[in-house]
Amino acid sequence: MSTADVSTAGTGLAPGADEAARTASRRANRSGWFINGARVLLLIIVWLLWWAAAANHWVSTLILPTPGATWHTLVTVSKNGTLFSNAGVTLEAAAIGFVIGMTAGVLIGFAVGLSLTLTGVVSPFIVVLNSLPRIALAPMFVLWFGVGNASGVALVVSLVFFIALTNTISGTQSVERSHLRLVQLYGANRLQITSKVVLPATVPWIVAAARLSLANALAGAIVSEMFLGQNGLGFMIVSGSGVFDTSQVFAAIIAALVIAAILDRIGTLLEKHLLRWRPSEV
Amino acid sequence: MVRETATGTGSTGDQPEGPAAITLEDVGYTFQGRGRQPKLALTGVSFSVPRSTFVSVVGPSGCGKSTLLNLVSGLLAPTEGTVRVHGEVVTGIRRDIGYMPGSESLLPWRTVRDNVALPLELAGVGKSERNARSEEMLQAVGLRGLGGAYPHALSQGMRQRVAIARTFTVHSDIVLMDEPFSALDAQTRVMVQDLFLSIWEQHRPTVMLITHDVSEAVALADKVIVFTPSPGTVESVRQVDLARPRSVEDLIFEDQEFQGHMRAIWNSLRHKTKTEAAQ
Repeated sequence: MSTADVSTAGTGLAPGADEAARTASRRANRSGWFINGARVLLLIIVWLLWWAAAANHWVSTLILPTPGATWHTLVTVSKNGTLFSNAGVTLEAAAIGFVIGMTAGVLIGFAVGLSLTLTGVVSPFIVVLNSLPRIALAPMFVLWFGVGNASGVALVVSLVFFIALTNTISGTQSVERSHLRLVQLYGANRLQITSKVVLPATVPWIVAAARLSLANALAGAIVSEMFLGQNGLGFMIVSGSGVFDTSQVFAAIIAALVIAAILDRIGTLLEKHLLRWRPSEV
Repeated sequence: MVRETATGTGSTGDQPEGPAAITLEDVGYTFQGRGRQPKLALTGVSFSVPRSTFVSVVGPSGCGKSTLLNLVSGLLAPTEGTVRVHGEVVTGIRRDIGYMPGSESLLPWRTVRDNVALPLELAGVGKSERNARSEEMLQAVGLRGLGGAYPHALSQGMRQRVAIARTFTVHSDIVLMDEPFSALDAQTRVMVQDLFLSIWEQHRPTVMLITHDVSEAVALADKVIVFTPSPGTVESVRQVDLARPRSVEDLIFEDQEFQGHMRAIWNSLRHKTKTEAAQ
């Protein structure tokens, strides 16, 4: 989970290494075209297989709708607005839960992480709670928070919070000793040590947590809507499959995919900006 | 950069008035590990560093050199004896002491400019003054125009030049250095050492350099203090009266006197390690 490897930011780059890095990035750029082309080809192949499976009745259309039917449903639900209103409901739950979970997780993470004693006391509980399958608890959330958006938000918070919490704690404790010693020797007080070294050193860990949480937040919101939700993409999926309207299910899934891809793109851009001080990975 | 040429320091012999910059009297330090045996790191260390002199401390690894630096900086309190800076007993971290650590000491999330300005920022100096000082120092180390870059974009040698600029942004009377050039390759090291000396010559703060590199110790310092293996104590002190300003490159390749000093220190270190091994 902790993808951010903070400690090795900027290992010994000899003068010649810059040139090597440039050559490598040129090579990466050239192979980038190839990779993008292959990706498009892969999509086309999947689409063709899907189309062939439906057209030749390899699989019943009750199980797998034709691409045409899916497209038709997508257009219809887009035109009558149900797709956007449902996607909006899902996004709202995901966004509110994401913001609450990240804020609480990061703040509590710092409070815990800055004290070794506190970390020692609470970390076993965090590990146990974090290993609980919260998706499986979705029906309980409906019981606790009622049928509606609150239970969706609660499920998202329960997912995001622990990701943010564990990563923030790890981040605060991964600070380079040499950096701490440096600012201490320059007479930094506790507040300065925290704000000038510990906080910035933790940023990559928080960004990694946010990236992971985005996908989890969307999944959490959808799953929660599948249990007793009255609207949202999850509700579209369940109600569609309930009446064997698989094209509606597929339309909702495609909408979720598009949203996930957009969120991921935004996450990548934010990460690039926030971590611009790190060597870019080739 | 303010160019107040230190007058009267042309001849290496004369000693400024007043108490020495750094004085250690019978200093010892014992690490109290939780649940472990206490470990004696330093014992009976006594020496003094007069103002504006450059002192190197050499010794085998693990002899407590870094502990020594922590004691002088006030990061650690001695368990025996006293450490004085300008005659005052050290009781905590002093802001008037500069510090230059070894490799990778730049904060990677700060631009070069903000790294150089860090000591000023911690001392509460305003932003415009910080930036002005920072640019001045970057120019002095030959990195003008690179203030906006991040450390990862620089070579190892350039990063150490940034570290030099940072060390001298505050005009500290005393500069402590902990193996500052050890991560550099041989050629870059000599270049960076010469750069350091040229900037040092302008203000001549007192320097205490911790190193395990004998040629570095001799080439830079007025006095070399040789430490014994752990628990560290002063084995011998050697005065190095090589003329200043110096060129490290010329010393290494041409100077007979330099080589004599090196040989003598080398021998005393080797002798010590041999007796250790025999025990």
